[in-house]
Amino acid sequence: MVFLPDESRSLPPPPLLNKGTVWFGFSGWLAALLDNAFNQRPVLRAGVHRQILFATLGCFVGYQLVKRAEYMHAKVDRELLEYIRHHPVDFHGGEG
Amino acid sequence: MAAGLRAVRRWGLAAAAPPRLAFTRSASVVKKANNEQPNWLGVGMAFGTSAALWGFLIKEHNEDEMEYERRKRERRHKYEGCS
Repeated sequence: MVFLPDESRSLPPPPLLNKGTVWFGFSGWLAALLDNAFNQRPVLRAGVHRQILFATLGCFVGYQLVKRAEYMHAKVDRELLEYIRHHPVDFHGGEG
Repeated sequence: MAAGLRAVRRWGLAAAAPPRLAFTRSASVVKKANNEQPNWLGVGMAFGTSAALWGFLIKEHNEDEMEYERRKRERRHKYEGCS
C-alpha cells in the first residue's frame, strides 16, 4: 500500500500552515520541552536546537498525514458521487 | 497505616543484606550527561537536519502545486478538445 498514490497529486496540495502541521509541530515542540523537564534542564531555554528539530519533524509528519487524509476523503467523495450518478432512481431529489 | 509502615521498615531491614559477589558482564557503559558544555556535534546535526527537512518540505509543496496546476491545465485541454 503506497502512502501517497500518484493520483493524489491531482489534488490541490494543502497549505504549509494547516491543522496537521500546526498540531504535530506543536506536539513535537512539547515533546522537546518535556524532555528538558525530565532531564532537569531549564524547560524553555535549554536545547533550542532540539526544540526546533522536534517541531520540524512534527510539521513534516503532519503535512504528509494531512495530504494522505485529504486524498482518502477525496477518494471516498469520488466513489460516493459516482454511485449517486449511477443510481439516479434512488436519489430523485431533483424531481421531488 | 502506621502498622503498614512498620511492616515495610521490617522488610527493608530484613532485605538489607550485603550484595552477593556475583560478577555480571555487561557491554554497556553509561556516562553522566554533561549539560554544561554545548554538544556542538549534536547541535550542528540538529540544525542541519532541521534545515534539510524544511528545505525538502517547501520544495515538495512547490512541486506539488506545480504538478496540480499542470494536471488542471491538461484536464481543461482534454475537455475542450484541444489535444
